[in-house]
Amino acid sequence: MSINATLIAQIIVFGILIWFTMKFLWPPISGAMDERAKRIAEGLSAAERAQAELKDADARVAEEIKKARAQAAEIVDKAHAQANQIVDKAKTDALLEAARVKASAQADIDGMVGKARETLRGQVAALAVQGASKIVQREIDPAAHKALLDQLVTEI
Amino acid sequence: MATEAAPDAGHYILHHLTYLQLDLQSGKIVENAQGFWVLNLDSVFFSLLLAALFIWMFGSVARRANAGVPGKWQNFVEMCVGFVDSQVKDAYHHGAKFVAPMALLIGFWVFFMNFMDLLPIDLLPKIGGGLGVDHLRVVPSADPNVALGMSITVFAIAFGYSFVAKGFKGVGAEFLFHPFGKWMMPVNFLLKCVEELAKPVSLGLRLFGNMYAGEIIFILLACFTLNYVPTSLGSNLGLLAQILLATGWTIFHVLIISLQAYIFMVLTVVYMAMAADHH
Repeated sequence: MSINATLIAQIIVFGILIWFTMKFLWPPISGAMDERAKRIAEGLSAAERAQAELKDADARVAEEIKKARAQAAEIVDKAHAQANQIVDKAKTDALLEAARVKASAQADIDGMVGKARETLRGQVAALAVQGASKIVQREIDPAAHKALLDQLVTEI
Repeated sequence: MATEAAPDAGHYILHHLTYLQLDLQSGKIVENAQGFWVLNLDSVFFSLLLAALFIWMFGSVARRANAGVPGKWQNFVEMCVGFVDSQVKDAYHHGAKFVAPMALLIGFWVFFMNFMDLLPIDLLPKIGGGLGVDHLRVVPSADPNVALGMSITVFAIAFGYSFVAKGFKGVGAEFLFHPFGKWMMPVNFLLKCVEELAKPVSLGLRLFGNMYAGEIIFILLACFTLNYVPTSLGSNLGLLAQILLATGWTIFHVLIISLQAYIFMVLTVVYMAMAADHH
């Protein structure tokens, strides 16, 4: 073992290599690693944010669905009520109409009956006058016996 | 070495511990040269080769680095970078930008250099021999020049950085007034000098010692089959012993080479933190 100029050669080579490593080898690799670490951190935080947003959106969607359901239920209830109302109205209208029709029919019938009765009365009065005139063999003056005839007519 | 006429263990071991050296003054390949102006070509070559491996490994990702989905290779390299970065962040809490890249370089370059120890001990020297290279030591971190060169550089950077971080006054105060207060200035200064000098020496020698010892063990184990004779029972027992022991040592050594690279890296970071910390 002897110390010789190899020592100096090694010192020079070592010095140059330190400079070279510092200048050309370390910065790109270390920089890329830091950059990647940053990107990964950003990606993770973005994923976290997205997850939080998703949760928010889910909550909003659930809220919306709940609201929509309530609204739909309301609408259906209203529709039911309206339908019932319509049916009820139709029923009452129909009943009223029926009553009205019945009443007018009744009135018609009553009128016709009255008319028929009048007619019959007239005819009965005429027949009575005819019969009576045949019985008494002479002309009865309707004018002279009007009061009598009228009384007869009302009595029939 | 097997090519020699009568190889014995002593020669074999010595051969494996001899560097391929270039005498810088005469410009010739020499053996066992003394003096300072000699370059261990094998150490420098493998050191540079493994530095190239390091640059390729991290450069291949750095060139196309992006924050998108990483591929398998990019993922692996980024894992390595992330590991070093977390180690640095644990120990060093100041702003200097060079500490983490430096730790990355040390951790992986030293690991690669240590890893050369796990290659079969004769593989590369034999190939080198075929190419006309007589001596080849393939583990740069088992060369004290390499280990100490790195630790001295770390120390110099830490020392310089302490002036940047604390100012001349801060460093001066640390040298003069700790640990015994201002009335013991010379003692304080001496203690601090010893403390500071111990750092590069211990850092470099720890790595060198571990790797050198590991290499020696492999060389010694290889001596079991130095003069292998297929028909001899003793030779085959030796072969069996070598296989078992070398396997065990390799498995254990995986731990050592990783641990030493890790220790060198972490201690570097700690020294930088100490250089920046105010007391």
